[in-house]
Amino acid sequence: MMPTLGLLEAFDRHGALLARVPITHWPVTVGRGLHCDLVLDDPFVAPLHLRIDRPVDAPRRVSVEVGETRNGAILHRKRHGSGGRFDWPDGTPLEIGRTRMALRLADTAIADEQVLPQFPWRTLATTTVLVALMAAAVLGSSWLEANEVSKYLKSLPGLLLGLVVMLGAWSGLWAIANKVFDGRLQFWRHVRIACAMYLAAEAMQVAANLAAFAFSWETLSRFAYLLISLVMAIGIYAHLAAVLPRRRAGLAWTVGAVVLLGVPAWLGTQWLDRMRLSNELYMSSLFPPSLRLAPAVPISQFLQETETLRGRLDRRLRNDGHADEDD
Amino acid sequence: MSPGAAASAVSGLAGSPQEGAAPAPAIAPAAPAVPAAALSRDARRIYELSRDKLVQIRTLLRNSNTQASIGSGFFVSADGLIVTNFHVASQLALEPERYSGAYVTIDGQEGEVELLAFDVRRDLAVLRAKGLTSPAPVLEFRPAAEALAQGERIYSLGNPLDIGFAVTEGTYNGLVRRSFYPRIFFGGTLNPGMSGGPAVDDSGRVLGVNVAKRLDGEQVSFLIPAEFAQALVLRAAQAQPITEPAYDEVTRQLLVHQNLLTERFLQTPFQEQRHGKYLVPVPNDALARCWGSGRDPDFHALNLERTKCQADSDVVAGDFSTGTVRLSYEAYDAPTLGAARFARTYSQSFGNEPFLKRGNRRQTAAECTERYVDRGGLPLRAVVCMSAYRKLPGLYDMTVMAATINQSTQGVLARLDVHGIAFDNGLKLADRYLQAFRWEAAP
Repeated sequence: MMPTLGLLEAFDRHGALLARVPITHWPVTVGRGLHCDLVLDDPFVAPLHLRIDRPVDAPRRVSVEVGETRNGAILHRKRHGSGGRFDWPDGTPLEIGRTRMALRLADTAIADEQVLPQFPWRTLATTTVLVALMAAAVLGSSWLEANEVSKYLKSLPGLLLGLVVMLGAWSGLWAIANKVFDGRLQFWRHVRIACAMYLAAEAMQVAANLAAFAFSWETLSRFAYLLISLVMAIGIYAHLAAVLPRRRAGLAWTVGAVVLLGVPAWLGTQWLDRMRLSNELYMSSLFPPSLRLAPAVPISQFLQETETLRGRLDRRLRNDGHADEDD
Repeated sequence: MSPGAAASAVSGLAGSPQEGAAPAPAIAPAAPAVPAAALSRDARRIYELSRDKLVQIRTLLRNSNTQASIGSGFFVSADGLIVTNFHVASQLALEPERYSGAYVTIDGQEGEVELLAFDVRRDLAVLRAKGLTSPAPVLEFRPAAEALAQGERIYSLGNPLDIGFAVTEGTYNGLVRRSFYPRIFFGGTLNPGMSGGPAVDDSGRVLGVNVAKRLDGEQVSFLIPAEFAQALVLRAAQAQPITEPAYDEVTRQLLVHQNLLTERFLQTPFQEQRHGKYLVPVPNDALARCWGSGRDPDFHALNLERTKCQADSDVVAGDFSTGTVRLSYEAYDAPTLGAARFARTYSQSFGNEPFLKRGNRRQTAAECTERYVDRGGLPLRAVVCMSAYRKLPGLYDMTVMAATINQSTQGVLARLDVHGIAFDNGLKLADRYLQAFRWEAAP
């Protein structure tokens, strides 16, 4: 029986194992041709794509020769074309066509056996804390608006049920996507992402409104919705990155591009429709008086500033484009 | 704060085809609308005296010749001058290229009318019947010097709901208190379609012109005193017919109106209304009517007092009213609610104000400025919003809002609306209004 010199493995784009061949001799060939040692079905692979050898004079090296191919081979993001030669370091993935190759040599030291993962107490604790915080935020917000304690207490079961259903549905849909694309459900991970996203958006809203109130920064209040959209975009990216972990860079670019194109498009639509970038006419979030830091100006100064309305309304009269519209 | 609706509703009496299209059973019988037997002998005499001097006024779409609105009128000169309301003839003034006017006598004789003059502030217009072949029978005006006594019988004539000419009997109740322009309080019934018709005394002399009624009351109707109609007839006798859109003239008259309004509000000091230690400005009782209401029963932890005031100063400027002044307050006191919950409720109330956020063919969307302002140690969050009228240059709708922010569980939300005001006058009123807030600190 021939000794096994190594193991050559091929994976698809999602990391699923396509083929595995033990190496019993050098050189080893890879391609679509049936004469190859490792036969692949990838249409972007040449009949004889790679010839992998282990030179006798340098036994620690594995050298690769690229065959007659259009697409070449990619190692460390570097493309090697037809006839190219390079060394393939142990443990490094090599890409040909849409296939990812891995090589294990018999004489490479085997990593220690890993201990089975313990029960993920830390993850459980994080999940519990995040869900509890989200529930507290929802109940707290509802409490602030509640008219009476007894009515509020009666509404609690419905509120909690609604929260569980919403959170479950949102995370569940992402988990299904996760299962389809990555083979793993990761439901609780999506729950954590959803909770974090909600909490961050709420915190952003409160912080923006509070700062706007404290310093009389009306613009911050008016455009808080953009900051919240940004938080939501980051949250969606986190969900997507969990679903397609190998495509994080691409997803980041995609989400970034959607934000970069979507925000100006939204603002442009608002401007064309109403000649303003925010639908909020004035800052309406009021906080306890002790949180106000901006000074109160004399009424006369405020009314002098109000003179600017004349010019702004003149511009509207000229350009707002609603002169022909009915009420 | 909830929308500042008027505590009561006044309606003009120009009819429209829609109103007449589906008569309610109560008004189903065709002409004669009022059975003669139900009237006193005086009313019957008045009707007989006046019937040939009455006309129905119709505005018609020029293209299709369909009826756009109806009202009433009466001849005041043998050469065919007719008095009616401005709100009956406003389409002839503002869109003469789209609308034409016609009169119909009690005998069914029809003819074209042209608009000669109008008084937007008093809601009057004078038309001329074209192509009269014989001198028109004329109603005389009762001299202003001959005052009527409260309770005297008077009679209103017109063509209600396009059913037929009718006389309604009622009482003279003097002038309406707080009305910005003099109006006679007629204790009788007016209906849509009677706008512009005459109200006459026992001798058949015109003492007023039908104009409006209260929708929330019975037999609470209003007449324009005849002297204003007489003055307009004198002006109209020399005038050329109006054939171009008369927005300039409407604007000029509305500018006069808002000047008077501003003057009166600036000359008459605000009264102070107390809510705890807050003193907020309400108009003098002679200028506006105020209504208050108490706590919201759904929210026991929150004491809420509402006040709404409205000046009786609105004028019809075409297919809309303007010239109104409204104030409203919501005073909150919630000692047991806690600062955070109070702030949330207070913010929501401050934020849910109705505004024109999108422009329309009449006016632009609102533009606002906002600031913390100091009123003698009382900090207020003040917002001034304005919206400009497109075809009435120089006129604006202004809203001033103020939220007191000196107490963590008490506060007053205030709103002042002035419609159809010049920019500078608006700012003067805003200044007077904001300056009138006070907080009584502990001694």
